[in-house]
Amino acid sequence: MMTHEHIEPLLQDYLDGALDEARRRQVATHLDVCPSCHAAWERLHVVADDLAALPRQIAPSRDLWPEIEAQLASPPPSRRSLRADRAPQPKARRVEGRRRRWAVLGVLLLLVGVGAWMFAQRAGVGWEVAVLEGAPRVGDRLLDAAGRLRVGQWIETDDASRATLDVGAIGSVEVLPGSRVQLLAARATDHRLSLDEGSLHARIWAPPRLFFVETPSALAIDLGCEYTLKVNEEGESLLHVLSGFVELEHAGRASVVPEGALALARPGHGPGVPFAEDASDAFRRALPRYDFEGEAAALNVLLAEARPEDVISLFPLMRRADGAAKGRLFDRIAALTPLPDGVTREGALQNDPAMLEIWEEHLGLDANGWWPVFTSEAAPVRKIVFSPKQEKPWRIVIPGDDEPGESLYVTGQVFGPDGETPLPDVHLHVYHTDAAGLYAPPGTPDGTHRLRGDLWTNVEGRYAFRTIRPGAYPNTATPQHIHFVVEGDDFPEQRFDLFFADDLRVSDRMRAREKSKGRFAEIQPVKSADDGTQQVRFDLRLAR
Amino acid sequence: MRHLNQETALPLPADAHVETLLEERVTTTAALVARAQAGDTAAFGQLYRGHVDRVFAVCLRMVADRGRAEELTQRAFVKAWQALGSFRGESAFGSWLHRIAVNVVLVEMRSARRRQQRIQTTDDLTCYDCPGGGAAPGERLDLEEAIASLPEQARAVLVLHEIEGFKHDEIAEMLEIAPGTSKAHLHRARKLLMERLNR
Repeated sequence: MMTHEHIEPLLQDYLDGALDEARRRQVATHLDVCPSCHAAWERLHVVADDLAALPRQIAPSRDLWPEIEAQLASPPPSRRSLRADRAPQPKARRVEGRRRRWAVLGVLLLLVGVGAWMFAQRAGVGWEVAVLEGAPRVGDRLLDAAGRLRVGQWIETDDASRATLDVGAIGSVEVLPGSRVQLLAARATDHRLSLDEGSLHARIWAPPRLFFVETPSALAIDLGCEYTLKVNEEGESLLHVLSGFVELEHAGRASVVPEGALALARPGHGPGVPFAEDASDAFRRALPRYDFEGEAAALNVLLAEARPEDVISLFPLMRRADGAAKGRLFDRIAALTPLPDGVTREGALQNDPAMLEIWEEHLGLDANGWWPVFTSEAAPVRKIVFSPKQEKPWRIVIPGDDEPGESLYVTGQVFGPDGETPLPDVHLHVYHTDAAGLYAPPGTPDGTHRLRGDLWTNVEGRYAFRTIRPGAYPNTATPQHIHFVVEGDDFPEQRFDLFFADDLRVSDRMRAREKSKGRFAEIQPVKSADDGTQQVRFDLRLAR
Repeated sequence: MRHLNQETALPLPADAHVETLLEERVTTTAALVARAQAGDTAAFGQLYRGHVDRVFAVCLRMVADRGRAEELTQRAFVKAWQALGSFRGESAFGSWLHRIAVNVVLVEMRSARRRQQRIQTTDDLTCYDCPGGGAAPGERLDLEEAIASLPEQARAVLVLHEIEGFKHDEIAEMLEIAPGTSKAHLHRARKLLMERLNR
């Protein structure tokens, strides 16, 4: 059996995908059986992940331009070749020394390689890749069917190839032709890609802030959604959100982009404000000219072209603007949508926080609505969320911000009698007690449910809501629960109750009975996220 | 694992007209480059603003010194201005500039090393290469500090490979070393990082 000195040097090659298939398998198998090597591998892996996740941009602490400009003035650009930048050839002696060291290292690696020959294998850490077309390059090899993308590795598609990546267990990403994507981290709480050029299409079905895509101009943070992201050769990004929400962030500037909207991001500027899919061409063109370049004339176009739907762009622009522009944006928004009570021009122009909040909510641009945004920073970045008042939302937030109780997400999918066919457009009415175990304050008529909501499954049969963990009825043994009243087109009204596996009031007899229902059991485990939020998955099977 | 939607290859929305926005930007950069090539310093100033953070990041990580990194960033942009005539637009301006910045840093590092070799005879004052350098025993460094504490060559290779995404043969060419040496530096850098991060 080999000692650890023999496998440790191989781990780095293993990480870099530099081992041939046979040796890779040997290392992998050894990692499976040797806890100490596995621990070493984990340590290495974490460092490599952290390195890859470092920001690609750092702002200098002062403006360097004036000094640069002073040096430009005299010589006009010449036709001097770039090769002038190259250093003189190094001294032969040094090269020789290095070669010798390299030769020694080569021999060592060879010995190590031979030694490692007897090791067996384990699946590498990373994500599964399935080729959809052509032969994308993963690491150093071309892939023709399926393979694995390890942390730190690149996947590159040419004009004729594309592939899907399984994002751990939380979603999938299609890498479209002509793209260059690197897997930066594959941890349960941090699924991270870098998109350097090209485009991808992401579908994520997990709680927010678990999936990230870095581009040269911004970080795209999934808030539970589906989107496409394109990066051009200048590093500019275009995000198009197909469902849910995505946040774009760069250096403290953030835009939350809702379903049906797009946003551009530019290197050095970060994300621009969102704009509606159906904004006029003139509006779209003028937006970056004003938002990024501050071109005054572009503001005229924006104001002239804006429709009520374009308040999604105007409102964040107004918040960022100063002086006369702020006033003009205010006036235009006020003309497009009526001003709510309690909002005055003066207050809004002074960025009165309470007033802006009232106005935001009134506009349906609810800053904290929908999936809440968790930030642990002392001063969280102000975020704008546009939540169009959908007629049949598939996800809702039930309680107000100040509702006492532990935050709880419930997500799930509704299926037909076969337990396999997802049912879209099924109406769910849910209600539950508050943290004290009451449906309504004492004195209200029976049958009043203060914490309740209506939602409709989406095309995939999914639903989701955020609420607080209900309290048990006071002074009874009834476990905590959420009532579901469910009705679909071909399915009569039926009722379900969700209980929580960690609730001690749930009796053994109940547990035994529910166990037979498998995944459709009405007692479900509760997972806790790092921030203390609880998550429950509750899938439903309807009967005809 | 269950997939959201079993039909793969969802058609992308028709946002071709939006893509023109991106294309226009490429053209805008091209136009700025053309104007700068014709001697327009204001246009070059706009290019500077769009790219300075990226250039500064690579300089700072390679030399691990803010002041030096700022100087090198300036030098890189001045170099780029002087070499603009040779930029033909075959690659993106950003990557071209990035290459120049890396070259400027490497040239500086080499000449600094030569200066040091002349000045230092036997005493190793900086002790960059001392094992465990940078961290007192038991002290935990953050990642950027740990990178900064690495020996210069190892740090350069690590930054170029792990953060900037260059391959060993590219790094070998830039640093004028053998590809195997680049790999050895990388391995050593990672080992030192793990030690210094107390992992």
